[in-house]
Amino acid sequence: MCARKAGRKKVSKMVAVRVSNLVKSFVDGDREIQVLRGIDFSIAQGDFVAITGASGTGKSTLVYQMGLLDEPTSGSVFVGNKNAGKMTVLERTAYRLNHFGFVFQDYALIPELRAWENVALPVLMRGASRQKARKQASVVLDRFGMADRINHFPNQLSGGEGQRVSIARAIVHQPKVLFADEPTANLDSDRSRQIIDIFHELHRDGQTIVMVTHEMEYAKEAVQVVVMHDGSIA
Amino acid sequence: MAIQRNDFSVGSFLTLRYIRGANRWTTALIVFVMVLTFLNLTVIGGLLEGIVVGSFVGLRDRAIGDVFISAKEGESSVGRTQYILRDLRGDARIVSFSPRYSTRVEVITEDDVYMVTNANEQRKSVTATALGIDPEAEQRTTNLPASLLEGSYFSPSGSRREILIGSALLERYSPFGADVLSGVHPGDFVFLRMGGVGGSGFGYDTDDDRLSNNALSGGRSAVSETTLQKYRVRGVYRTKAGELDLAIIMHDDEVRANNPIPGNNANSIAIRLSDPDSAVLVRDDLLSSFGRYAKIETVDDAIGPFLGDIRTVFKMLGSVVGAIGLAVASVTIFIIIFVTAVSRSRFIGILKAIGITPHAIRISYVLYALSFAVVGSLVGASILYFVLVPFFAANPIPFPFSDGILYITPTGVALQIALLFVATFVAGLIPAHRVVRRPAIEAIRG
Ligand SMILES: Nc1ncnc2c1ncn2[C@@H]1O[C@H](COP(=O)(O)OP(=O)(O)O)[C@@H](O)[C@H]1O
Ligand SMILES: [Mg+2]
Repeated sequence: MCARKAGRKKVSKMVAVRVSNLVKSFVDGDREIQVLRGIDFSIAQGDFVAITGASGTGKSTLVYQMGLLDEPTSGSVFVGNKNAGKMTVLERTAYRLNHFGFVFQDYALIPELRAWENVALPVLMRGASRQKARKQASVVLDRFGMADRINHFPNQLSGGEGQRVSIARAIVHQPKVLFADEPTANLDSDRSRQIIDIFHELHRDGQTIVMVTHEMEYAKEAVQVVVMHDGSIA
Repeated sequence: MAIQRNDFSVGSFLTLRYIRGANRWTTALIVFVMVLTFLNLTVIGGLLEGIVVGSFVGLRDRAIGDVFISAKEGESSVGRTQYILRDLRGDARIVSFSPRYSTRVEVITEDDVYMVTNANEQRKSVTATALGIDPEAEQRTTNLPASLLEGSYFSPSGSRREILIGSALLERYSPFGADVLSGVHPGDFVFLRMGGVGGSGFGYDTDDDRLSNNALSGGRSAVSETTLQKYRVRGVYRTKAGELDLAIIMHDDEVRANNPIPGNNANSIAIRLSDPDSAVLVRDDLLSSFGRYAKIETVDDAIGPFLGDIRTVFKMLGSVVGAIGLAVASVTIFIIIFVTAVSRSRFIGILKAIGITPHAIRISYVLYALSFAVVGSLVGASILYFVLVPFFAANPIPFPFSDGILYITPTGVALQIALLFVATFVAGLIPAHRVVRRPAIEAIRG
């Protein structure tokens, strides 16, 4: 299923991530369960892709594969023009740091770190000084209306605030692709709306986004909607 | 891939936040364990070594000085004493020296002299070495007044017929001693029989033969009153320097009068130097002039290898105790880091997911572990240098043969801190590595 927003310029689109005949199965006792059954799929630079489908159909598993968080049973994942299967664990870590951002359902913030410190981590890891990292983190948090929450710890933030810190951390280093796995699942509809609006805003600024959601309402707003069914793309 | 600067930057960034976020009491407890480990590492060995060093220092400072001159083997006195003394006076490296003149003396308590009337009754007497000194020279050289347990030192006016008694001659200080006097206190009188008893080098080579009482056993009537001289006990001293405490000390002219040695030779000379480290040089200079006439030793020579061997054994014992403590601390750190890391494995997974390197995460835990070692050894070293060392210097442990001090050296302490750091490093790295090694995806999927 594919929907294209009108008015968007069709540039020569670079492929950000591509999966080819991707199979992922898990061994459960003596049974092997195939969760991804040979998926072919690609995400171009500037896309906003929503992956939707019923629970347990393999949406998260696919995102982990594309985000280089896990390795396939068979098939290939290409990031840019690199075959991820040929990368070492450390190279994959470095690739995630330099080119990907992740938002998870439960925000995944580090509890001992203040809001700005969580956001500063990828910048620091890329070699920025602490002052510079703090400055960059503040700018992004400010942009999401979190200027007065910079020094809060995760347990002092509401769900919507926590998720905004999490998004700030995912994009602070200007990644090629932002992966979001059910970013609104823990939020009420008002807060969910705000988060989805942030994604739209980021996308307008050119951010490539892959968002998993089981809420069709939000999925439909994306440029491209992928519906998963039983480990395959419908 | 090698560890990079960014790994340290992020690792230390995380460490500081772990410390900030940690439970205060838990942190205090871990630091406490590290302080105990540090002290266990330094103090036990330091005290054991201090017993030996204390007896060395005691012998040097309270008995024989930095350089000691005594009679050559087979001789009874220091040959050419007066020439030696003239040289010592002219040597700028020498702070002071004290020639000592000794003779054998039989000590009889006042009670015994008057109470023994029966011819068959044995008069209780003790044979000892009488050391004749110049009180001022002796005070400058060995600070003998500081060793007094009772009574007072000789007065500067130079009163005669007074003695100081070594504590090992008195029953109340040496209850298991073979030849001891009872009931002798400062102010009491004793009777000394001197002369013809035979001289002795110093008291170190006392032959413990008790003089036969034959001359006296005939009862008071048989005692020649001219050989029994009445002395007042001025004080009781204890130097803990071997057999010096088995002597009695009096003015040198009184010894010399009773036991004239040709050439006015002394039996020993204790020498104090301005710089104890120059002892070997001074000894060699003296040896080249007087080696033919006297035995000249540094305090190290005099002690011989025996104390050194004990010291080595004690050092080893201290190391064993320290190693056990170190092992306990390592296990403690291991458990703490392991529990911390395992309980946070989800966050470790998240860190890895967002691109934080395994190096950085390992560093964060190793630095966390090391921070306990840093604080532990800082607090421990402060306690060591500002509390324990001054305390044991002021209150030495009263061993029978020495005053035990806490003996530590900066290099020794530095080495022990390094040991603690290495142990902590390993104890932090292993559990951190085990947890970081797990795939990030397991933690994220939850
Ligand atoms: N590590 C695993 N071991 C076994 N089964 C797994 C594992 N991870 C996922 N699964 C299974 O794969 C299926 C798809 O999971 P997931 O991708 O999380 O689905 P979705 O995100 O669409 O709800 C589920 O049935 C799930 O139980
Ligand atoms: Mg899911």
